[in-house]
Amino acid sequence: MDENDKNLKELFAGFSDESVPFNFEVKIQNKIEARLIKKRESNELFLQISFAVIIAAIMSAVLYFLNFKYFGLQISSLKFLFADSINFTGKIKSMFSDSLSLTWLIIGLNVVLLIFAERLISEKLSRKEKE
Amino acid sequence: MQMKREEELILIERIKAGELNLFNTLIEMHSPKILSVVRGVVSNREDAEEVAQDVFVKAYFSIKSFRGECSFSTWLFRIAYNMSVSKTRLKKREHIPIEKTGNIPDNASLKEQENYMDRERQYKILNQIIGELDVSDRFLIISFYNHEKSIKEIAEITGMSESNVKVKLHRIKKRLNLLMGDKMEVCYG
Repeated sequence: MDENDKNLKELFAGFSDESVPFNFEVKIQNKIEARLIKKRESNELFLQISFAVIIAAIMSAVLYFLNFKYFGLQISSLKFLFADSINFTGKIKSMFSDSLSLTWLIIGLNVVLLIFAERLISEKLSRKEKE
Repeated sequence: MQMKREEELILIERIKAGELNLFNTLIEMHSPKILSVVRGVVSNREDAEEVAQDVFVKAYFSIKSFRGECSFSTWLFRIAYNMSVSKTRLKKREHIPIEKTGNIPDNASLKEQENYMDRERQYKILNQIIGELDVSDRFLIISFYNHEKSIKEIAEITGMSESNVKVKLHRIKKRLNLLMGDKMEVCYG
């Protein structure tokens, strides 16, 4: 370090403001706390999404089993829903008067029950997480 | 608050192991230096304090990545450098001077008073020049003169090579001397 450096160093020393403001540590702690809460919340959300995906997969498997293995439904039997002529009331009437209507009602009921079960379990999980 | 490097490393290991409440000790130890360097680089005081707080928050969440290859202070300076650069990039460059505190003592002689006034003038000029430097140069020069960081440490902080730091420091010093000379001439006529 030459004379010029020493002079500059001395001058720069005048700029050094090392005072720590009041509550500086507390502010840092609060920020850390806020980030930890955010992190926890996003973890919880991820858990819920994963849970919903698993339930959806189970639901699909159950529906597949019900439709194809148990009730013996075929995709071709749904073709009447996509008929060329637009006649919604006729379609709905045919849905309920058809011999398959009971099958459809059972499938619908199953879906509702599965969704209800999924909501119930995820609600319980999130409550447990919060506790 | 001073602590030996070994003691500091033990403290960090304990924090890594889960004793996160000990992090306050690190804040207490390093906050004056971090605040000082960030204040010198970031344009206004409030922003500087915000950046300094964020430096410690970032350090808290990434302390596991600190492997002790450099000193903890250098590691914190690196975070401070990156944060100051990105903060300053977001804002238009404006350098609000750091107030030089202190009054002329009542019993000072005329000669002492003159010296003090000269110093004050030099501070103002230097501050103006620092404000004209770009943010990484500002960080470089402040770390070197104010915080006595070595060329090697500055290279670690900024991610530049040692020779690049040397060249940059040389250029900044040259520019500082030139501008100081010019501005002092304007002041004194």
